[in-house]
Amino acid sequence: MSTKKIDLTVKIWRQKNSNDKGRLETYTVKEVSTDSSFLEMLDLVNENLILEGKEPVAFDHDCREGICGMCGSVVNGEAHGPEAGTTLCQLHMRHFKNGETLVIEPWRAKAFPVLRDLVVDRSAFDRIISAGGYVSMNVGGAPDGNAIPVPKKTADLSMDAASCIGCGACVAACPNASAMLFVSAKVSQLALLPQGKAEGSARAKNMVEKMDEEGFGNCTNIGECEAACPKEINLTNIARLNREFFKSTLSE
Amino acid sequence: MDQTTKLSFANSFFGRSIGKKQLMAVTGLVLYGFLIGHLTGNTLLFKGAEKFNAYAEFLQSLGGLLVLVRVVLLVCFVVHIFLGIKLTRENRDARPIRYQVKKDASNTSFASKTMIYTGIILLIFIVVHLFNFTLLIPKGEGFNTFEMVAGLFSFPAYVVYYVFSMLVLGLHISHGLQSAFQTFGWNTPKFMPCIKNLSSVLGIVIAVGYISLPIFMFINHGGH
Repeated sequence: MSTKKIDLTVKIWRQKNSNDKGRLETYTVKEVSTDSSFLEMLDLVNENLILEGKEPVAFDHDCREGICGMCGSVVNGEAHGPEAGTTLCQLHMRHFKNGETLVIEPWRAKAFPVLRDLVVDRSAFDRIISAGGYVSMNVGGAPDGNAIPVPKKTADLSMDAASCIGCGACVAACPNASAMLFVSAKVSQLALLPQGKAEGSARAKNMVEKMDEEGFGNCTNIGECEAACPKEINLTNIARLNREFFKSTLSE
Repeated sequence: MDQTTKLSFANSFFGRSIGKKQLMAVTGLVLYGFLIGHLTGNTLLFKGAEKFNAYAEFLQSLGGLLVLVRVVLLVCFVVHIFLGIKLTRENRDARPIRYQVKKDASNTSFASKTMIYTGIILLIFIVVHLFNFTLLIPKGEGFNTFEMVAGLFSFPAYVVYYVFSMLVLGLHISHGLQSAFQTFGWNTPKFMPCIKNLSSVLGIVIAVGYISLPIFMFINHGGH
């Protein structure tokens, strides 16, 4: 496989701070290796901007291995770009054509205010986790790992839910800016396991309450979130959250 | 985490996003049930004036039960419409700044994204329909319901409007039924594909059923 070089026009959302109105600005970026990642392409844009004495584009990133949940932008109307099950950092430039124009925007949601350019404040997710996305345990000797039997299938479902990296693509893709896929994954990973069941009722109730408070929209069962999720979290998790919530409001 | 906010059931359930949706789903299912019953009864139009009028008189003879059913339906309508508008407004507010470019994912349906619009079209239809068929018609002993229906369906424009509204209805309920199952949490990998298909098929069947009525009446009893 030979490395190709492509030239692109990128329209990137530029916004100085959360008070700035912001606008799309157009840049050209030449000789992008098709083996490079999307974020490396943005690095290239920034190197050019720095050479020109301009402010580089601020974007979130950390591991660049698709597992930390830091990166993410909407590329041509798709959260994390056109590849399914892929974070922006793992998206390679070989999926784009020479001469293509890319519109790059930040996640758009009231609950995710833009801090600068493509960087949004996702601390609303942290506050939802603080409201119940954990298991309370007494400190002391670690219990034996296999003391409580868990069926393999159940453990797998829990692991699938736990693969959510909290990137926020579900909110970004949802026409209603709903955080249900995220919350449902965080509720499911614990609700499925014996250790999580003890606090299951309060968890669903408290996390949903926090989710509403933060200003996320309501789920209307469209499925954009599932399509955008880089970890391919399933809509059945939302159904589980709906069940958990119903149970908890009846019992608590 | 045993500290949960002490709110009344009404507040902690209906005040929450999922609670509102589940109420939306319950009222939607009640209305869905009505759609099936209403269609089943009205297919007696095919059997002619005598059978249909007998059915209409039977409904009128129910008295208190008819009033009860109407009240339940009215409450469900009002709640369903009120919540639909409220949820839509909340959802708009959740994204104050829109995307410049937005691409729809291939797994999403047109019906799912147009519920508020199809809902508004249906609301208008229902108001018109009630005025035409129920509210403004003086009913009493010997009233010929079949004649009334035939009269209304002799106007081509009315038939076209009716058919259009029923196509919209098909779209609305094809998402509605499967959405209700998801909202109640009855989504399992084995069960859900079946429900999705059932939702689409029933949407088509009910729409075609309702469309067949004005077309049958127009052709056979439209006075042409």
